[in-house]
Amino acid sequence: MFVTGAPEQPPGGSLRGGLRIGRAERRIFGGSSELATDPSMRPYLSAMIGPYGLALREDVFEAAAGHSYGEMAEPLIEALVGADDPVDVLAVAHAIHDVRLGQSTATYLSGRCPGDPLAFAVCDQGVAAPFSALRTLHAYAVTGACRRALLLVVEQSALHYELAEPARVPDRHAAVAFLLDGPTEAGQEPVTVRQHTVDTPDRVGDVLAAELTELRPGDGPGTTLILGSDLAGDWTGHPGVDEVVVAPEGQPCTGVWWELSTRLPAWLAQGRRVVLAEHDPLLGYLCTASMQFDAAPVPGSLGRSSHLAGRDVDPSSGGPTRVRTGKEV
Amino acid sequence: MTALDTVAAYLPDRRVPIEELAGRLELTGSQVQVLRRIRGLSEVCRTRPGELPIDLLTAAVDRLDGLRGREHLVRHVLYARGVPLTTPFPVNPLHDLCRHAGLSHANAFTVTHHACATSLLAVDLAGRLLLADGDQEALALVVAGETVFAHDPRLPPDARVLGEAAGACLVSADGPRDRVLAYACHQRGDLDHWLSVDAGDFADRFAREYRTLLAEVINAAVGRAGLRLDEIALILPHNVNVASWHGVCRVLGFPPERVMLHNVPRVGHTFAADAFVNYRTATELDLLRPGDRYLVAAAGYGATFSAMVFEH
Repeated sequence: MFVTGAPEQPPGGSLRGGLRIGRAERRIFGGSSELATDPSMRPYLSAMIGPYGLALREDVFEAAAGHSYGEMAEPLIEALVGADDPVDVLAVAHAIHDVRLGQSTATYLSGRCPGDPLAFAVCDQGVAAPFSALRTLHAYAVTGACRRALLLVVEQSALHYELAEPARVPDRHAAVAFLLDGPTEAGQEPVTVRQHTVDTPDRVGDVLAAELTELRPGDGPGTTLILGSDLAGDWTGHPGVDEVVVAPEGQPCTGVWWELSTRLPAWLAQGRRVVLAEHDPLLGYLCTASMQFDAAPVPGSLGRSSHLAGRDVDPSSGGPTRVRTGKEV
Repeated sequence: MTALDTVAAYLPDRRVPIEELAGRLELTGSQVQVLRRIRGLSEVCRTRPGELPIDLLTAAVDRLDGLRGREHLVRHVLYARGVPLTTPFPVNPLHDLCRHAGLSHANAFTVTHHACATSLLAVDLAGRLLLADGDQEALALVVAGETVFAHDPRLPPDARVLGEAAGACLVSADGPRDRVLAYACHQRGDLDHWLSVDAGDFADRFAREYRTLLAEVINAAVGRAGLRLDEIALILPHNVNVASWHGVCRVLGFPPERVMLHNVPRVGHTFAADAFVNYRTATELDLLRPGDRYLVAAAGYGATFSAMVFEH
């Protein structure tokens, strides 16, 4: 059970520290879920699309295509979250919906994740949803209700009806998970999410450039920019960015997070400043997530330890009643 | 401290007696009689044929007087949705709502997977987002409201009868009115009938544990607020039925006359909008006095049980 008081700013006005990414897992899922054969899908979807004048796609039904976000996320949680790493808050972010139409997957995953975290889904925001989900985790952290968080970004490629309007549909089933720890201490930079609504597409490049300048890339040893595929075509460079990675086109929602997870071990070891940038052309959101990875200390040195090392475990977690109290500011 | 700035509700004027729903919901005559005589259901609010979720949501936001002239202060718009999927991809009533209400500048997303308790999660989350942003003047808009487009024969009879209404609520990071004191949430994914194709025995297990689990979150929220249950002036329930609330009251030792059940027979259970619909009814009936501590409770298949304590 998640129990908390109202978030309250402490005297002096400073909030707690935020979160830093510590570990990641990712996976592509071949085939389909057996749940994609559930006969309840047809009447559910027929009733849902009827008012919009859309038709079912029999070829997708015949192929029994589609995947379940619960089944995709569960092995990532098992691989990423140890029994001694209780998670306080879990967020599932997606653009296209689950093939398991009515399942409250985040609630299911709460019971499959050490810590029985408060769990919810963030959606209906295209590729901006994972950024909002990360922002919500940050909000729980800085208001004292979360010291360890799990972000799951998922997408599956089967849509059993005609598209209502043009949209990017994934070409594979993919999931990425990040374990984040906090609160950050003085001198540590938390993951920072910024989101803009850009009303005209031709302004996106300018807004991104201004954003990168404000984020001051280049102050550190080097900055990698992970660009969503929608932004790649118009990218003309920025003085503070010395490496650009473009997300795969077939993963519109998970793409930039996939690339982050791929390179994360090296960046955690060597240190790196990284900025993710995504643009949703349908809804107009331009989002960035910036993060600083500090080089891991040399074994035996007296330097500051990694933010993951020696982490305190919430003493009230894992008790017989499995009731934890949200930590207060 | 998170506070509700303004709350609005929209109830469609069309009322449908539960007998009219029986055929479509595959309810027998005797089941309907039980729903009416024992469960306390009578009629439900329903939109007119052809109306969509966007029509419900805009009607609620249009009634939110506190929004007029303050649109520029709204940083976040959260759609608290009980049912995970209600519109075909990528149809997006939330962003249509933002354009309609002059909120296109806001960060708008849906939060879900807490079933009909999602509105409480959204209020908690909205307050924290505002505090994290650090702008004391900023507001968040939480909206809730869904239409019934299909029915699930795996659900027990009383859970198939649903109303349609919408709520809208401006949330601030701090404020003098309706301040959040505590929030408790217990998620039980093992009670979800969507776990398997055949749904298993979820309905029996949910029914067996329902009263205890709801009473537990109510007690947890009251305790976290530093209160005793007898200091709660009023419970605003979810409008599922009268009998189950009498059962929860027996578990709690709480007088059922202090649970506002007015809307069960006349509005019905309106997904995550119950919280805001019932708040409006409570204030219109003058059931809350300044300083009263009251509790909003909700639960839903999935399954999630939640309670939030406020000070009026």
